[in-house]
Amino acid sequence: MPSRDQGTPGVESFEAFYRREYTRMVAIARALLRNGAAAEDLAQESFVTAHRHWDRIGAYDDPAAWVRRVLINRATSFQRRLGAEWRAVNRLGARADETTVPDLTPQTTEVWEEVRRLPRRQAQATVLHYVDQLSVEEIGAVMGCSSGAVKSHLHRARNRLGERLQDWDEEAR
Amino acid sequence: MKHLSPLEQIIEEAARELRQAARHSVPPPIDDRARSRIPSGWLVFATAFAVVILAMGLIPLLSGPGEPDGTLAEPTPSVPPVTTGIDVVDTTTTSIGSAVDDVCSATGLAVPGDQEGLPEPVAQTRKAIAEAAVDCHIDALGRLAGVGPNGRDGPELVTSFGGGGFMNIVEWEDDGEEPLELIVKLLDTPYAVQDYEELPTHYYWPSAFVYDSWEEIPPADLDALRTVYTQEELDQIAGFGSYAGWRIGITEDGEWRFFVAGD
Repeated sequence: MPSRDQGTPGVESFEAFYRREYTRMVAIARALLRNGAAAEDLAQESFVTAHRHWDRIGAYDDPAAWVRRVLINRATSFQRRLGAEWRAVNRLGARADETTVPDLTPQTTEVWEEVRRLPRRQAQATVLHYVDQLSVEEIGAVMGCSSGAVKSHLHRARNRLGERLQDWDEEAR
Repeated sequence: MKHLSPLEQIIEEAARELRQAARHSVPPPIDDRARSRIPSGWLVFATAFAVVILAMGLIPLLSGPGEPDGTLAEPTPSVPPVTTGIDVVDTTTTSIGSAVDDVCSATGLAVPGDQEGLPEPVAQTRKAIAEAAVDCHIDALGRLAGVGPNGRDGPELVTSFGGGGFMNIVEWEDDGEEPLELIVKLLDTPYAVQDYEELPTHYYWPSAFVYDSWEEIPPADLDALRTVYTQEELDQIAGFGSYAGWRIGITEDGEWRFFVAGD
């Protein structure tokens, strides 16, 4: 029996797709989440979901857009869950796991910390644009909104980051 | 020099680029010392030059529209005229847009499992709404909301007390406000039954909606709201005194009547 990966003619094999997209998906997740291990898990889970429906998803014009969408949806859910867990742990007087992405410079860590403090849609658009190098139209396709909305999210995000990072730069001096 | 993995490289470079873009988006404060370094003679010259350029641009405007021979030019229509009837869209009927999108805010979410105690028509509608949302099937969702060619005969879904009906959902989704994700997540919370004297019995998600005050909401039902809202959002809703957030209402006959927030 042929495997799902080799299935439909004209559809890229899941393996090739996975190899090409994996690092970038993890990068998106890591930019959105403080917890590096969770970021990798979420990226993996998103690929598993795609693999399960690869006959259909592999035939899309841009299967990677679908996986990115699943990934950012899961990242949002994860952050909500984490918020609840963090509060629960805090109530017990313990400290929640706040593993930071290893081996990044303090400046880089600071940037992504500030991105994570942005409103959710602004953070997502920012990460897709700067980490994944997607165009405004491509981001709109992933986030399911118009190009105008994406431009607005990016503009507001840059303004807000500009102010916050400037404060940070001044404090660092 | 430290060797960066491809993953670290992507994140480092993106941070650098973003930091640079963010810096440029904030106008630097005007430095009085720098301004004073600009020779005043140059300022006078620049001002005079700008006045001349402006005057040159105004001359044709003041002389009015017209061709070189003095005849009036035809105004350019802002909307191209329709030349055939083929592409004319009847805007008097409800146009929902694309029937199925590849991705939407509910993409990748699981269709909530069955809930005990629901009458069959309610359970079917609940499942159909969630499936249509997860599949990004706007037309199917519209039919369930009572619009479109195969929509039910009854009243249309209420999405805002200011009107707008189902098309609000389409617009909100397009604006990135993620109503489809919200619908799926709400349908995964516990439900409550509300009987009315002159209206059919309604089933509501989340159950928190039927309690008169925030304090009466059982802890388990409050916890279920955490899958839908952030703590900040919940605090805002709690400030209202009772749950006035988003809820979905389905009648006992299986009609989807509400996806609305507010009092």
